[in-house]
Amino acid sequence: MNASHQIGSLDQLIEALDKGPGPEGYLHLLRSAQIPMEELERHCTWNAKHYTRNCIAQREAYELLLICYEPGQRTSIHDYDSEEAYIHPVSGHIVEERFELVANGGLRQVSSVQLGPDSYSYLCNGHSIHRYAHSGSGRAMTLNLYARPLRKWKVYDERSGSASLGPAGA
Amino acid sequence: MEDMRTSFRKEEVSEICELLFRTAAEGLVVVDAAGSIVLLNPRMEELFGYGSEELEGRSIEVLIPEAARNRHVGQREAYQHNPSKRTMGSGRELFGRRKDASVFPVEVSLNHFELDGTRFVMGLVSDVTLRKKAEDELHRSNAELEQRVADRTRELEEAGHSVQEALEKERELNALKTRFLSMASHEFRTPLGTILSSVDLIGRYVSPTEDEKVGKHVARIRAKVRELTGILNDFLSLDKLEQGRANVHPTELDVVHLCIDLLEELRPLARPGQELGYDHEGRARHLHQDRQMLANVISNLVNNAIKYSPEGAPIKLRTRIEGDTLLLEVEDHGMGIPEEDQEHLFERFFRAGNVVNVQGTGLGLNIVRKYLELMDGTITFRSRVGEGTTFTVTLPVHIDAPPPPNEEAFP
Repeated sequence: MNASHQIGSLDQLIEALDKGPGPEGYLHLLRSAQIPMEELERHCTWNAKHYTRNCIAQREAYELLLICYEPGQRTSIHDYDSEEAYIHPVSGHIVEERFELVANGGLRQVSSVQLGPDSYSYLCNGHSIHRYAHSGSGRAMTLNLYARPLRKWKVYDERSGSASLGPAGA
Repeated sequence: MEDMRTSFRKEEVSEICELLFRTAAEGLVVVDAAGSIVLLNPRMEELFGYGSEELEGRSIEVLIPEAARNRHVGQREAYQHNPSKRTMGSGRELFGRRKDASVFPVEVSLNHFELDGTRFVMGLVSDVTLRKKAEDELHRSNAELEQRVADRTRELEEAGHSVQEALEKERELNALKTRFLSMASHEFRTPLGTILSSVDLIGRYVSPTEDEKVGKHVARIRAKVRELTGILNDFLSLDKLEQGRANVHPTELDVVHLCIDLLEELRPLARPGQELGYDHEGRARHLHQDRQMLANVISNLVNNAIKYSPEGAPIKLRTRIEGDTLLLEVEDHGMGIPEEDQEHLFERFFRAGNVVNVQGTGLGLNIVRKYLELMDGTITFRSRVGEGTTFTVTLPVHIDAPPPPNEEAFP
C-alpha cells in the first residue's frame, strides 16, 4: 500500500486498521486515507465551552477519535500512556506544543508547531507532554489514532511552565 | 413385719377433734335445720366479737349484714333441700357482720352431716380481709397503671400529631425554600451565561500576550462565573432530586473517555501546580449507566479534591471494572475531614469544621449520594486530617431504565 489515497472511506480505514499496522506501520495507513468530510462530520459534536472527543472506532489494539475544536479552544497540557499516537489535522489551524519536565517540577516548552492538512504528528509513550490548540477563526478537527487505546491521562498545570500558545508555524 | 403405725382409742380421737375444733385458725360454726347456731369454736367468737353463749340458739343470719339477710334465709333453705359440700356464694363477695355491726369479707365452705337422724350444716369461715386488701391494692395499682398507660399513650399520640404537624410544616418550608432557590437559580443562570459568553469574546479579542492583565482578569471572571454557575446547578439538582423528577437514563458509555473529558473540563479549576491524573485498570471500560449523573458525581468529587487540596498537591482519579461493578476512586492529599465531622459529611448543607473559610454550599456530596442511590451505587471514604481523602464509588456496570409511569395512575 502506498500513499496514493487508496483508502477512501472511514469503513475502509477501520478495515485496514483492524488488519493491523503491517510492516509500514499505522502512519502509512493514515497517509493512505482520504476520508470525505461528510463522513467525518457525522461523528462531530461541538461544545461552546470546550473541545470534544468523539470515538469513531475502538478495538483492543487501537482507538480512532475525531477531536473537534471551536475557535480558540485547546486541550490541557497533558500526556498519556498510549504506546503510539498519530494526530492528523482534518481542518482548521492546529498548533502543537510540546513540553518537557524540568528539575523544579515545572514544564518547559520545547516546541510549537503549526500543523497543516498534510501533517501527521507522532507521539510516543514517555515523550508526549503536549497540547493542541485551534488558532484559527473557523472550526477545526483532528483525526487521532491511539495504539493502544488510552487508559491513563495526566493533566499538567499550565502555570508551572512556560506554556503559552506559540505563534502559528513556530 | 411389725406394724409401727400409731392407733388411737376412740376417746383419744374425740379429744383430738375437740382440740382441733378449739384451736383451728378458721371459724367453725354448726347450725341446725332451722338455721339456729348450735355450736361455734373460739376463732368464730374472735372473728365476730361475740361470746359463744351470745350466739348459741340464735339464727345464723345474725352474723350476716342486714342487707343480705333475707336473701340468705332463702339460700339456706334451698341448701337444706339439696345439701352438698361446697363453697358458699360462688362468684360473689361475702361479708360477715360483727357484734359491733362492722362488716368484713369472708369466705365460707359448707358441709352437712346427720346426727341421731337430725341434719346439721357446718360452716368453715375464713376472714379474708388482708387478702381482699392486697387484692384491692393490686386492682388499684393495675387501674392506676392502666390509667398511666392510657394517659401516656394519649400524650404520645398528641406528641406524635405535633411532630407530624411540625414535620409537615418543615417539609412545606423546605419545599418552599428549594422552589425559591430553584427559581432564583434559573433567573441567575441566564445573565451569568451572557456574562460568560461576553468574557469569552473579550478573551478572544484581547490576546493574553498583548495585555497580560486583561487576560488575567478575564480568566478570573470566567472562573468566578463558573463557580457561581456550579452553585446554581447544585440548587437546581437538589430541587429536581427532592421533587422526584430526577430519573436515570442509562446509555452505553466508555468510562475512560468520560473521565478524560471531565478532567479536561475541570483543569481550569485546578490550583497552581496541581496535576490531575487518571488511571484505568483493565480492558473492560464500557458501562450502561446514566452518563450525566455519573459525570456529575465524578465532577463533584474531583472538584472537591481540587478545592480542598493545597497548591502542588496531585489529584488522582482511578477506575476499574470488577465483574459487574465499576469501582471509582478520587484521591487527594488535601486537608482531610475531621473525624467528628465524617458521619455528617453527606448531610444537606453540612460543612466540615475545617473548611468554613473555603467557599461551598454543603450540597455537593448530598447530591452525589442521591444520584448514586438512583444509579444503584454506593459511596464511602477514608480520610485523615492533614493527609487527604479518598472517596470510593461503586456502581453496577449495567442498570435498566426505570419503568414508564403507570398510565392508569395518571390518567
